[in-house]
Amino acid sequence: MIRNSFKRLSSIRVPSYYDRFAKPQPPASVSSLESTKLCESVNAAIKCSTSQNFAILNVEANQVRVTDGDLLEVPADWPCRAGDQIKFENVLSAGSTDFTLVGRPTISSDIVEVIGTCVEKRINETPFVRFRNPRAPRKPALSFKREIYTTFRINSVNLKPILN
Amino acid sequence: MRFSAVRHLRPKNTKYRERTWLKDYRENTLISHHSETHSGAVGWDPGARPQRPVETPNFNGVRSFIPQLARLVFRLSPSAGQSAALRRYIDLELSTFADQNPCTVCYVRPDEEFSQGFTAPTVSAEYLDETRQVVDLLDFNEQEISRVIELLSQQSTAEINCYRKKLTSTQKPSIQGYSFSFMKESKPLNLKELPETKLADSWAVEIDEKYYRDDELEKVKFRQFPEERSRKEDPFGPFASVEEKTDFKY
Repeated sequence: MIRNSFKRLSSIRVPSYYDRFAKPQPPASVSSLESTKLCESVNAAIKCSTSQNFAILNVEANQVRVTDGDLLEVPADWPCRAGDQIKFENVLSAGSTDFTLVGRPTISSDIVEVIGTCVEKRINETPFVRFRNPRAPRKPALSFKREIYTTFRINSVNLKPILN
Repeated sequence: MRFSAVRHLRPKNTKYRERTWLKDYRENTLISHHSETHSGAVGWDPGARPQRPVETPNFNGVRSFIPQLARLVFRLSPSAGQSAALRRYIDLELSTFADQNPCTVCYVRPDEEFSQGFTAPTVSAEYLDETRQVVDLLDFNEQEISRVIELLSQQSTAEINCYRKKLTSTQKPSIQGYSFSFMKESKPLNLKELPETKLADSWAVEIDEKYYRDDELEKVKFRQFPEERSRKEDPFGPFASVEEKTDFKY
C-alpha cells in the first residue's frame, strides 16, 4: 500500500515556470463586434485585392511558402503521376498584401484553395551509399538508395471571402 | 617540387575495404607543395558547385501540362540471349505503354551488332528539351525494364540538377514586402518633419526692432504695403535687377 501510494504521488508532475512557453494558452477572446468588423474588413480586402496570394504549406514536415506560378519539389514518392492535378489541404497560413490568415494549426479547405499539377517525377542522381562495416563483415554489405522526387507547379492560391 | 604519395594516408587495414569505390582518390587527396592553401590540399572545390534552382523546360504546367518525352529508341539484337527480356517486353507490354501515352514515338531497331560479345541492349529517351538519356539494359529483368521506362516517361529532361539549395523556385519572392529592422518601430521615429517652404516675397520683411530708432520704427511698421495682386506681379519689388525678374517662376 505504501509503495502504491508513493508511486501515485511520484507520478504527479509539478508545473514549472517554463511550461507557459512550451504549452501556451490560447489568447483571450475578443468581443463579437470587433470580430465581425475584422472579418468584414478582411472579406472586403479579399474581394478588392489584385495582387497574388501566398500560402504556407506543410509538406513532409517542412514549411514551404508558395505563390501561383511557382515550382515545388517534394523529396518523396507521392502517389500521383505526371499531369495529375492535386489540391493541397494542409495549409498553415495564407494571405495577401494587407492581411494574413493563420490557422490553428491549419486553415480549412473551404477558405483556402491551393491547386497544383505534378510536372515530373525523377530519381536522385547521386545515390546514398551505405558502406560495409569492417568490424561486422557478415552483415549485409551495400545498399544504394535512390530516392524519388516529385515536382509540382502551383497553378493558383485562391482565397474565398466567407470569414465569420 | 615533390608530390608526396598517398599510401601513408590510406588506412592500414584494407582487408574488408574495397579500393574501387574511391575512383578519384589520388586526384582528390593529392598533396602538392605548389598549392596556395596552407595545408597543400588540391582537389575538388565544393564552392564551385553548379547550384541551380528547380526548373522545368518550356514553362510546363503554367497553362497546361505537356508530356516531354518525345521518342524512345530500343536497340537490341534479334537473336541473342542478352536481350531476351527486352524482346519479351516489346512483345507483351510495349503496346499498352504506347496506348497510354500517345505523345511518345517508339522505335525498335534490331541489329546484328548487339549479338556480338556482351554488348548490352539500350534504350535512348529523347525529350523536347533536345536532351537524350541512354540506359543500358544488360541483365535487366522484365519488371525492371518496365520500371525504367516508367521513370523515363515521368521525367521532363535528361539534364542533371543534383545541387539545389532550395526545393522551391519563385518568380515573386515577397508579397508583403521585405522585412527590415525598423519595420516594427514606432511611427514618429520613422517620420521626419521637413522645414516649411516660403515663396519669394520681398515685400514681407521681418523687422528687428534693435536696428531701428523709435522715430523710424513707426514709419517702417505702419508703412503702406501694395495690394496682393501687385505683389504677385512683381514679387521682387521695383528695385530688383532684370535677371531676377526673368528667372523667377512660381
